[in-house]
Amino acid sequence: MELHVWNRAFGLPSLDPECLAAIAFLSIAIPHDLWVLVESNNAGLSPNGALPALKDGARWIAGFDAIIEYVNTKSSGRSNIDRSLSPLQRAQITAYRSFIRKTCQPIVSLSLYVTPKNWVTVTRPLYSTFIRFPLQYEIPHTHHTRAATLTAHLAPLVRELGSTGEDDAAKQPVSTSFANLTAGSKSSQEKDAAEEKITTRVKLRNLLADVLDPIREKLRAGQHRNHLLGGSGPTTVDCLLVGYLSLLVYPDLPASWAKEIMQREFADIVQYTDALRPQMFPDGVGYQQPQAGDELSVSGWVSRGIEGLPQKLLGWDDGIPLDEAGLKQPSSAWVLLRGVLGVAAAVGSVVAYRAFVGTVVDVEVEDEIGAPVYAAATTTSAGTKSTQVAVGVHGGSEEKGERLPIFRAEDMLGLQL
Amino acid sequence: MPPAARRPDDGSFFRAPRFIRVLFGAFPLVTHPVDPLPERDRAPADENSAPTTTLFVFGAEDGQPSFNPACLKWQTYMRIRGVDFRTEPSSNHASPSGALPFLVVEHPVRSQPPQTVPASKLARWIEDNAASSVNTVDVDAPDYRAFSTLLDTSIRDAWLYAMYVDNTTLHTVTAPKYTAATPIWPVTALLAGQMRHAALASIRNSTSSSSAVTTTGRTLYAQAEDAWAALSTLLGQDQWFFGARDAGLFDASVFAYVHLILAAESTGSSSGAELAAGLRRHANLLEHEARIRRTWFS
Repeated sequence: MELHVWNRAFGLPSLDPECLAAIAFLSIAIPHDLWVLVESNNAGLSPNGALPALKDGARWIAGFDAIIEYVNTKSSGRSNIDRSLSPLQRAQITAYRSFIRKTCQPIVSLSLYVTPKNWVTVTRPLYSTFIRFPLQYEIPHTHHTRAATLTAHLAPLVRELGSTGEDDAAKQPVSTSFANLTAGSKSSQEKDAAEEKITTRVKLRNLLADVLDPIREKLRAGQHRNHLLGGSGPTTVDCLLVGYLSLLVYPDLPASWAKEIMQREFADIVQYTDALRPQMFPDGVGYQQPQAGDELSVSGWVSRGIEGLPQKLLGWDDGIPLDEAGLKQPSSAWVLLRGVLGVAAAVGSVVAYRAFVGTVVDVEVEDEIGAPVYAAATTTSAGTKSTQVAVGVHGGSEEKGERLPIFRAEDMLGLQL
Repeated sequence: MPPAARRPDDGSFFRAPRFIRVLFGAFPLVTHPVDPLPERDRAPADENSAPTTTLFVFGAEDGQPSFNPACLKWQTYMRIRGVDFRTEPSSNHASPSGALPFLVVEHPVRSQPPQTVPASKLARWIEDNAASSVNTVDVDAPDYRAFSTLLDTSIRDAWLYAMYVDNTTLHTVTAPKYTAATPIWPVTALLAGQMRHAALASIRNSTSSSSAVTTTGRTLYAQAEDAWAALSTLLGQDQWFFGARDAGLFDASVFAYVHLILAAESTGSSSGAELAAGLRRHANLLEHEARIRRTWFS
């Protein structure tokens, strides 16, 4: 059997919590020579459009819950790690799975994707290490969008995380910061930033405590402190929980609030994760390259993308079909029509964009006298450092020697001055 | 020199043309008698009489159960706790927070302004104002938290799918109920479309589908079925959830969904039947629903 997952990262076998949970389950439940890990990173393979997905011959099984069910039936119960549980504990398994997903998904998304510092310096660059050129822009973007919708209810917290201290210096008026006139009041500003951070930290702590307090209480109530339901062995809930918690505990991030809060206040839960980690993510798991047709390819992605374009661009929503038949029902003519519509919309938007932007860019580039001013102005708008602005204004003649690049990334973003 | 100024009968340049003056002279067409000053519809009561409490919900004429799960949950819980209140059919445009239910407490003394309690503060208000209950279930206990997420994820998604996403049920059962105040064709169709869109977004962003991009109705029903099985096991042979001696908030939440799913099944819609199929297997949940219905809604 092949388990298709997202790529390894942070010293863990995958960067996705559900994939980690599936890996943990297979590591515990079945012998290592019966399955291999495939880092295909190709969500299009999965029947439900998301990884993890298990490939057994020609059959595809998608999602953590379905994988467990399939493996248990296939091994006729021998690999069922929940078999010794009472009926009430089985009911708890269903309940805790939904509890862990509901509470942990927003936190993991917040930590890895939505906290701007972590996203820009760690997570986004991480994707380009294992996905090649055109797709390395699209795939992390869709993951980031999903993370943003999952954390939509935490909007004030997200804003606070985005505005922590350091970039305040750039927001000072140029004149005062250049002359160091505000040096005296700077300490008070820093104090404000620090205070802001404390309130943010308290909110983050409460967010984590919302999940970890019940988990801690449950762990303490059981006989066996290392398993959530108190049994002698780990259950599927432990797999899921470790999948989510390890993405909070192990990655080294620049804004490492999750790690710090957990190590300071929830050391027992970090210990629980540490204790289960070697068992759930062992070294001996075999890896395999994706077979022909399973690897992530531009053509496969493009054909799926074109089919989905009308929904994306025109806000068209098909709804959710009742069953699998509804999922594959669209006739080829319908798909073709959608493809044509999607391409037309894409071409139209490119034409419209060029008509809108093209003329302005030409003027800026052709204007020789305007060049140094343009250069100075762009540095101001970038807000990098106030001293650079001073150089740009006073030493304009120095910069005149350099040719303005014809193509600037800022122009592509439509940030015209 | 403007021609108007030469006329002997009008001295002003600004005077309107004659036909406009005639037209405007005809107004007002009718003068109605002056309305009386605003007055409460009740006679000023004696200062010691109890304040009147009104719960604004979807539907629920004459104290019937509301057709919205969130409203029915609070309606049931207030009855369980013995709060003296009446229900008022309303729409969410009436609510200060934009969501139903909400509670208005009017004091008989006119100088005191009415107190409005939004849904998020209802639990607190009931705790402060109702007689104490023998149901002492710890709402922060891990199991309580875990099992109540089942209602908020799996069961809620399946409910949304059956009632809002399924087009037949949406147009024959759900939309007529929610748009009863304005049963005019384009309005009902537009509102139905908006509700469907909101339900789809809610299901897609729900965490119960475990990051699946494409899901199906059957998957959602299957997840709800697992959730009912878990709740049924939790209830066991007890009268109330968590072995309490009296019904509590958790019982009210479960009742709200069970009662409404059985009602949806009785409308004869196919999605309602499919939704109820997973529930019908658990006799103890059906008995639990009947127990609450007999005690507080008969």
